[in-house]
Amino acid sequence: MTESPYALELRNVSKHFGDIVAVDGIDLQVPQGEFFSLLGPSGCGKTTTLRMIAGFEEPTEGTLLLAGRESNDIPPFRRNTNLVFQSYALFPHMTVFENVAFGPRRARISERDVHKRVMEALETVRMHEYVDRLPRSLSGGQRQRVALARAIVNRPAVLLLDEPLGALDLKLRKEMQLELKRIQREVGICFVYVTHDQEEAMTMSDRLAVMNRGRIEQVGSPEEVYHRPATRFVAEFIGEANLLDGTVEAVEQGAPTRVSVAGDTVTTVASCAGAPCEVGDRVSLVLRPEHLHLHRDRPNGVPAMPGRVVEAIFQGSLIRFVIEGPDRRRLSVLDTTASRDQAAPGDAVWVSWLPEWVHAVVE
Amino acid sequence: MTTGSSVALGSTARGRLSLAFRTVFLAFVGFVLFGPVVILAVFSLNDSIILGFPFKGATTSWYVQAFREPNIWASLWTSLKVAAVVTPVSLLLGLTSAIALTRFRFRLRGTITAFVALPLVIPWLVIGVGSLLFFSATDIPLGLFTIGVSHVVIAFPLATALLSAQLYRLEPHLHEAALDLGATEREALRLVVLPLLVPTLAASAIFVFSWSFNNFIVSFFTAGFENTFPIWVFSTLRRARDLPMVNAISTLVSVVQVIVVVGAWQALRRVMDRRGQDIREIVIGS
Repeated sequence: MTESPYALELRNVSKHFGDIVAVDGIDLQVPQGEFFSLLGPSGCGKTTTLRMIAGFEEPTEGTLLLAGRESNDIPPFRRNTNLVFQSYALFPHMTVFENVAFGPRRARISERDVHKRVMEALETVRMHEYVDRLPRSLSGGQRQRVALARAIVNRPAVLLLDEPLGALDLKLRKEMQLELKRIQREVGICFVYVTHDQEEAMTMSDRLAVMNRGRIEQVGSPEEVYHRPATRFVAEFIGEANLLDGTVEAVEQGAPTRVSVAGDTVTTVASCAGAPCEVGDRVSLVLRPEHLHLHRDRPNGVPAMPGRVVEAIFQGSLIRFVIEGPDRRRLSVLDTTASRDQAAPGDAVWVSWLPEWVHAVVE
Repeated sequence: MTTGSSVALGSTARGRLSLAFRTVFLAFVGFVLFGPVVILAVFSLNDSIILGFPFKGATTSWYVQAFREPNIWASLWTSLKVAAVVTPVSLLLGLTSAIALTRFRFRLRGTITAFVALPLVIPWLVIGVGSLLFFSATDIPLGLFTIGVSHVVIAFPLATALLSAQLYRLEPHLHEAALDLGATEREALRLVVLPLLVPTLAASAIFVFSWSFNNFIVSFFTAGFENTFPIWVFSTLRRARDLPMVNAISTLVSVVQVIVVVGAWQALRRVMDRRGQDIREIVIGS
């Protein structure tokens, strides 16, 4: 096996089911030891990608490398990957110990080593006191831990997780997110995590790929994809975004310095990911609600837009304002400094933002 | 009828009426289902060759006569031999067809599924006559072999139905999980799929065995000179003086079968309890 910095590499990988293109030419490089997420809505091809990595589906085109080794034709039982199923898929007729020992026993190592490794794995997930229990006598969270132990005990090059927290309730899910991250750091295995839950992906991942319609829209750290989305889809899918459609009027080094939005010439400065902008390009300005501020009067020196308060919703630590701007466009504003007395429904206000927080995506 | 609902309803006049109605209804169903068997058993102890009242007095002589009749034992032995071969063959065919039809997607899968299920809905009389025509057209001599073949035809689709229902209910990812953890296809089958099918295989065996052992109509057409127990019963019925003896041996065979089947079912339930499974999953799903 050649030494490779990447635990997993996909080169122009596609998967067709008959006429349906599930995965459409994706490229991906995941370094050793990284927590990487494939994030996207259902039907975006993320699970198919995962199943190709696990060996349950064969790529129609492209090359798949595991730890630097071309692996397209390696059957699942010889692959150095393990999958944690959404349904856990624990063997119901085997105890916790037997479930976790299933992989090591197939590797034909001595029973003493099997025992040692199984107990190690169970201790990592804190289930070592349940060795003799049957899966059906465990809670959802406990089954989840056993499924994880059953996978990490094999020390795979890549550990694949298919929405493993989907069946748990919210509180347990939050707990397991941190737990998964801890376990991943502890074992140092590369995790590839499939989810449609952007918050989950943001919480745990070192990097993530946002997928849509079989393609990767953007790869980057959670901060990058949040603050500098490459496409309109990413901007809308990750977090909450106000999108203002406009036309570029001036450009400096590929980034728009002035954009007119829907007739009202709202002048702004924006960064721009992806392709460089040119004058006349149609762009969408991405404004995160927490980057918007409310004013009674037009503020000086910052880009601003007039509007009227439609709703002011108390949300505990902050207040969410819904502002109707010109052209009946609605903006969501999370202003920690404004109070409901300052801006009540019906009031005329100004919405401002700092130019450095504005980001433009080319349509 | 649950105790809770009858207690709750029992406090009203309407409830009492409904309770009375349900009791009568249950008694009627019970009478229709078990009446004939009970009459058979009662008259096997009657000291008369006439099947009718008044009762002439109790006797066990018909049982003694039955025990001395060599044809009974020969025919029972034949039936046991046939069922003992038909059962494993049907289970094997049922298992392989069930795995093929549930696991794989292939052309004509629907058609093949329909063909496998067909013997369950075609009248056994038609299958019996058809088998006879087929065997005589192909010059296959009638005997144990032809009985066995025709029994497999009617019995293995039952095993297929039970086993594929269970395979559908099993978590579809269990097989993939086994492969993912390094098991070969054969190991996945041996270590994961088969152990989970054992209770269903046992239940299928019980059903297939009793179908084969009790079958008259298909055996009748394909037996040639062989006598299975149901065929012996049918042929002996024509001699009126042997009728009580038939009653006696039929009662005995029925009792033994009920004991064997109930015993096997209970044993199966204990095994499944120990594994944390519910036996009802086999017949009514979980």
